[in-house]
Amino acid sequence: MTDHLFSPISIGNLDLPNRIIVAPMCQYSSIEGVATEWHVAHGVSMALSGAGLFTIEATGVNLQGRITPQCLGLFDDESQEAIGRIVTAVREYSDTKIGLQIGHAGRKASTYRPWEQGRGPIFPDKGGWQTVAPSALLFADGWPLPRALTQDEMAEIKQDFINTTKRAAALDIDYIEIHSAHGYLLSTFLSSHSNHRDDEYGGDLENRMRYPMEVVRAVREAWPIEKPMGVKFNGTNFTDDGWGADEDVIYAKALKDAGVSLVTLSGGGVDSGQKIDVCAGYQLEYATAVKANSDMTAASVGMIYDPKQADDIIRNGDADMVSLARAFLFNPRWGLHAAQVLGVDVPWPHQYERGSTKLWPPGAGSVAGV
Amino acid sequence: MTVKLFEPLSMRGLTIPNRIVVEPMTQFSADEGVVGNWHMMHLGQFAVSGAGLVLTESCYVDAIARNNPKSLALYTDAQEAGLARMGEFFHQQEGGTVFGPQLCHGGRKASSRPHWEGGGKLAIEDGGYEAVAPSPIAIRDGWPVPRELTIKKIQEIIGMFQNSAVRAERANLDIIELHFAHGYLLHEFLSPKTNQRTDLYGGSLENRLRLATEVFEAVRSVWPSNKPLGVRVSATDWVEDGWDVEQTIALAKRLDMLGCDFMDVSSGGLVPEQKITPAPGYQVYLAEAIKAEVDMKIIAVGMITKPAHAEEILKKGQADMIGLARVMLYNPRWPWMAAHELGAEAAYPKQYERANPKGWAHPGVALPGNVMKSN
Repeated sequence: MTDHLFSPISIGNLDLPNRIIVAPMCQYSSIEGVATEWHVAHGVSMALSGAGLFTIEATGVNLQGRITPQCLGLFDDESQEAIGRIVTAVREYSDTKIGLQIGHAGRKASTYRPWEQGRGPIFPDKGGWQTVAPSALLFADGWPLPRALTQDEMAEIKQDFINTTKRAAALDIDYIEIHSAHGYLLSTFLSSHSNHRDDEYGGDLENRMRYPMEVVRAVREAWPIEKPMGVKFNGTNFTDDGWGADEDVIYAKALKDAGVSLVTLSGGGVDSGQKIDVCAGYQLEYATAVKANSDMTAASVGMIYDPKQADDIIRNGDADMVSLARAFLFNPRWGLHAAQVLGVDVPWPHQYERGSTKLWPPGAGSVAGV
Repeated sequence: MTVKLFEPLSMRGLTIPNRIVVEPMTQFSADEGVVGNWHMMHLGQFAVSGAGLVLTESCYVDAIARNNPKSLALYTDAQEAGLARMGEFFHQQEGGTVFGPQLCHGGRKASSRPHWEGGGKLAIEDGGYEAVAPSPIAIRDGWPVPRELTIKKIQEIIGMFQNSAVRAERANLDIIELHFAHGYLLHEFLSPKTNQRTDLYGGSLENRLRLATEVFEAVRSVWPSNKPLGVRVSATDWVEDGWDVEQTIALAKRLDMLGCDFMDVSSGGLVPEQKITPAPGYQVYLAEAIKAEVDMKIIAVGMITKPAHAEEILKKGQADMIGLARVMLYNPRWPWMAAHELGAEAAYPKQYERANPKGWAHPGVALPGNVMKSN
């Protein structure tokens, strides 16, 4: 039987009821990296969306690794306890599995929120901090120059990934995802445009993959063996850096060998000269390439918003899972509505059963209720 | 052309950013009546979805007044603190959505079970409690006979509403709705079906209106004069010889004189023999009839699911605001969808701004979740 959007799937030992992922989405609502009530309200609502997996936003492995000063972090007891509040709240009301995306923003750290100064950089004299990268190369004109990381500093950041992973494990999160996309630290190691190192971490593809792979292996070792781990990376950087479907497959195979169970193929954000023609499913081909040419389970993200479109992606075998972002902000019941549109019976939270169209409209029985 | 649904509305010192009201919806999810994670999410999602006014589910004024032990309530310090926290969450958002409790006494419908547990009476041995009512009349066979309230108990209940209102003010909430509908205590006093008292709280219309007006006046006297106070009514019991729209108009005129700011016009819920045929906007004619007779603002509610329908009700002057319930459970971003469809602006929190279809939807694409579109 053909798999469809509501076919179950296992990611490692993690059984998911369907193929729908709530993608990590920055909420810019933390205080010094510590989650707030916003995250509880947001997280529980996303977890009740009908998706099989809800991924908590990009979470910095240290303060310098946050994208904005308001981004989430997981690096001390206080930030751990705060994420624990999200986890507890979700578990109280939802069986949806919880993922956490961890990352380091590299040369795109220390930026304003999207609604402030067009998400541009915050210079150190304006409350920002010195950014780091594989090489001292500007992300774009007008941005501060990042400092090239020494190997000792790279080892420290790797240790921060390990520490964050252990904290996530202590919170009994179901799935951990390493952020290796969008121009943040690990993706800048991968692209020849942002990595000009002349040590063993730069140069050819194997060298450029070396540091991300070291981080992945270190996280895999720190993360409970029975729990699955994933990586989000760019299928393409939408530029002429030579990274494309072939490299996706090579990276995916290496990740599979390192014990990664799921990859999500995104794109862009590495090179400010990128040219993107955004349309429905515009990044799908990269997930398809990985799925077709490796044993890796591949999810696609990017302008997937229509239930039929998402279902077709799974039915056609173009990806194993779909990851949606804005569609869930615009419609936090997206998964439940998708089931309705596709004629699949899924449970609604008891509190919201009266809002499901199975009972209404038109109203079955009394409206006010006696 | 302006879109009425997204025009602001002022009552006393409060400006409501648009005409969309999220009505009270029982959640059965509050431990000890206190706002917890469920309500942070549930009410929180409405705080960030572009609505004008969000009312809590029935918030009970006393322990035995509660519909269920897991109902929201406002008679303890912890309950007050929880609602204050919720109110602060609303005030932190920039959309200006206003927020307040619906205060309620459950009367003979107190001590019930959630609909997902089959509904019906929550027995004393299962943690329930004895219910009270104007007269000792059971809801139906199989339900216990409620205890008839003494005049002294009635006076205490007026005080409970007052105390809850004082707590709502301390919690810095914006608005209060008193629940006079759906067969709860105040409705039971209004309707001759459930009120067969022979003292000054029963019998004539004047007497049956007495408790509702006394509760209103008592709350008004302690609720700040710059904050709106309104009521929810069932404008008919949908049975012969029950409470009906003429009596509701009499109540509305009385409340108009007492400074009532709005009336939220629902119906039914009192007696099981009610005959209701729900259909889109089936209660709007009741709102319209009341609106013609009073100055206060009128909320129309009941099976209004489509933005164009909501807009039409306002354009025709049948009501001043539109109450939504189940459709907000179905799609908590209904106001965004409505704004998109009607060509108006709705408030997006900055965190969610990137979801605004203006920024990303291509012409002709189906928006993610448009089952309730007008066409």
